[in-house]
Amino acid sequence: MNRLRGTPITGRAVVVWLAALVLTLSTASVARAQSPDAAAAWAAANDLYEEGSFAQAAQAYRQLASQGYRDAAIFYNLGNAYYKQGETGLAVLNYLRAQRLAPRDADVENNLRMARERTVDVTAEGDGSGPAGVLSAYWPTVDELSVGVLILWNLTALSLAAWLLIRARPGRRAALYAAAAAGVLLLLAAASLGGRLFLDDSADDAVVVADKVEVRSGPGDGYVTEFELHAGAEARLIEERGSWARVALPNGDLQGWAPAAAVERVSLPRLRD
Amino acid sequence: MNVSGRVGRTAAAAVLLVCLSALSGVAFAQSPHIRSEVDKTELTTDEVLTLTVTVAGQTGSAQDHVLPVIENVNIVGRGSWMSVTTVNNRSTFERAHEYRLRPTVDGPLTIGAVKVVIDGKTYETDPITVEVHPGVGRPAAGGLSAALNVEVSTELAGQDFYVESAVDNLSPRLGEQVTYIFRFYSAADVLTRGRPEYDGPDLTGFWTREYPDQQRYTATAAGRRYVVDEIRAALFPTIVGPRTIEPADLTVLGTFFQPTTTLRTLPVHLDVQPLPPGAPADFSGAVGRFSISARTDGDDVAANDPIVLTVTLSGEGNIDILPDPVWPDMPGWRVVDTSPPTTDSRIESGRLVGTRVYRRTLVPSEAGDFTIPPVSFTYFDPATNLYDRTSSDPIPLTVTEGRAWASAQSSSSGTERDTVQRLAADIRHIKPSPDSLRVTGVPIVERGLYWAAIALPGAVLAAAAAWRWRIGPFGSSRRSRSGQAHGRARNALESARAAGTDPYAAAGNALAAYVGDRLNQPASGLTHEALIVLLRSQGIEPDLLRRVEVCLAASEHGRFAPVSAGPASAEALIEETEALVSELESRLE
Repeated sequence: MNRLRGTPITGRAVVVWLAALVLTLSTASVARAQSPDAAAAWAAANDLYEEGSFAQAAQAYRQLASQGYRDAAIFYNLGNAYYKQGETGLAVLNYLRAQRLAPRDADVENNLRMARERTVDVTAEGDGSGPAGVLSAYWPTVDELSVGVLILWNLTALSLAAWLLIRARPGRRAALYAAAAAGVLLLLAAASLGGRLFLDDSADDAVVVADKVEVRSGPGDGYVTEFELHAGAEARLIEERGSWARVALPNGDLQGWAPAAAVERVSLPRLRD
Repeated sequence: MNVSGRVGRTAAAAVLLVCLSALSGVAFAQSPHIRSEVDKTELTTDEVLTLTVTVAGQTGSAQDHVLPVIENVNIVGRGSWMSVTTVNNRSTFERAHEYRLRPTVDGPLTIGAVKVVIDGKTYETDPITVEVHPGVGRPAAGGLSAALNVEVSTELAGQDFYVESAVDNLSPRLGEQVTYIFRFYSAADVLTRGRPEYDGPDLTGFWTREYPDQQRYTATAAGRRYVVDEIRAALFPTIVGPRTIEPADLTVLGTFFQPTTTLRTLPVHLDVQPLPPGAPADFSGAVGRFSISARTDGDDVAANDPIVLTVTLSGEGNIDILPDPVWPDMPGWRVVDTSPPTTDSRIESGRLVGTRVYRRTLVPSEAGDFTIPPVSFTYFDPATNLYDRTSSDPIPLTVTEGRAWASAQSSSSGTERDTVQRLAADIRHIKPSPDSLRVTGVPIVERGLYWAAIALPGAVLAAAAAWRWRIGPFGSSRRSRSGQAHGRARNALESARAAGTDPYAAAGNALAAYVGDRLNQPASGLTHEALIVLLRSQGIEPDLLRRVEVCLAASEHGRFAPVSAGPASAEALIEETEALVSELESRLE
């Protein structure tokens, strides 16, 4: 900072800047509020699970999720509770939700694989082994990418400001290189964030949660049953019309209408800030 | 049509081959030389004997040669070659005729004198006798149709194309080799286009190994000469009972004169016999004839050091899927590594033969003299219709004292190390609850605070850019210098007044510096006259110019004649300079 002689930015200003950045990151990434009661409810749900009361445990986990506690571990535990009850479809659904929140969690990946092994239907890429599944599973989350973009933007701006303010030629050159490097990374991170946002917004992944569902040629019982799906089958949700949902298998070859209650979307409705 | 017959064992005895070479009326100028020889004097009925008849002489001589009748032999191949040598305008030749003979019975085999007729004169070689021993008991193979003693199909009666399929054994034992033969007869005088497309039969119920090469030979039927293409496969029945090998198809591409034709064989019906009862307890399904050997990679080994035991099974049968031999119990030895067996198999004389090698890494736990017991292998031999057992020789080994710590460790634990095996699979357990739980709402990117954090560095960057614009290089240094001229002059005058330094010098320097900065001229080289000219060029009115001249003159006078100038005059000069700077500033805007 000694080289910033005669500039409006001093060492103290940079410290303030970094402090503001850390404060922003910490406050932006955390909850509106922290609740010890919710943690206690979670512990109680775990106790129910340990006792073998899987149905009650699942209800408790569900309640936490509906209150806005979107923690990957809650959906993971909920998937476990369903798995233990033999509810393969709901187990797959909640493991997928957990995976969206924690894409690289090995436990989630393992249990999802085991739940998928219980499913009846073989659908192309429906087991998450396809490119889209792998991308979705290992791509950083929106929050991770957002933080990355913020940090890289600060680095880029800081480097550019230094380049503007520093008079010494070597310092100016170093600042320019730093700005270029951070700028390239910023572009990559921003592109990834945009892609992730697009993927999440257009995500229409769904899971069959009923034991068996007849997929018909139209939204009604009078239409021809074109094929059947079983619990845990992963499909795309194309359209919802009344109590019917139009689904398609991942490869797109088969599609039709199923009762909306029999399939559930993987993505969760957003909460208000 | 579909089942091959047998050629009489004496069929080959009727073989009489006459080969004519180029004719010439020129007689030998010197006596020709003929000889016949064989490549071995002893062989088995599974082997082939090569008879070579060599005729050498002067070129241009006529020659015929006659092979004698040879009993109990099949001629399975023939060939000839010739070389010509010219010395001093005289050419001589050497022609060799080679016959590959497969004996069909054991005992002495006599090949009579070969006669060669050269220019009407007959020459003879000496008879040859070789000893034939029994082979493995199989019909001799390897000689195309002679291999399976098949005859040309009786159904073949002058057609342009004909196909047939056959097997060499219609009632094989379970696991015994059966050779499947597909033959395509193509009349030699009929043109074909491209390679015919072969669509083989479904061989479900058999383990299959195709022969590496397709055979081609000629045959004559109904007075017509045919080119015969043979495709063979070794089959090993895996299911007992009646089996049918479905027809095979062959598509012959058409020509301008002939349409595309698809030919189909008849199905082949077999009845696979079960293995006879009374199999030994250690019999695990191997059918054929095998031998076993074992060796180690050393005669001695240190305790707790590894040694590799290599067991080799070799012989005839379905070597690719042979079961493991019976491994002997070896107390005090640990098996630390068992590699999958390696197999080397091939078709030899029409039978699938080869070796299968097993390797085990053993570790002795104690020192002493040991013997690796024989490794045995039990199989069913279809040739003798009996179960048989082959065993390797025991291998004596000396185990020396090894690493004490390893031995101690092994004995103290009392257990053998082994790969951990998963006994059952279950999902991973639930995750614990945290001390407190946070409600996570919308993503970070949708929060106002996040965008404020994004805007902050943007604002700072904009401020830095603006500042840089003001001082250059984006902006003009002239502009910044000019902008700060007034302030600097006032600061200099104020400093002079406060510090009590030479007020006359300060006044003159401040005024000159102001004009230099304001008009972007170097103050160091700026004389009073030049300064006045500069100001005049800027349109400063003469009264003000006059005041500037007076001020500058007073400054010089005060600096060099300070006695005549009192403090009141110095203060008045500084005030006048400040006033002049202000007035010039307003005029130069």
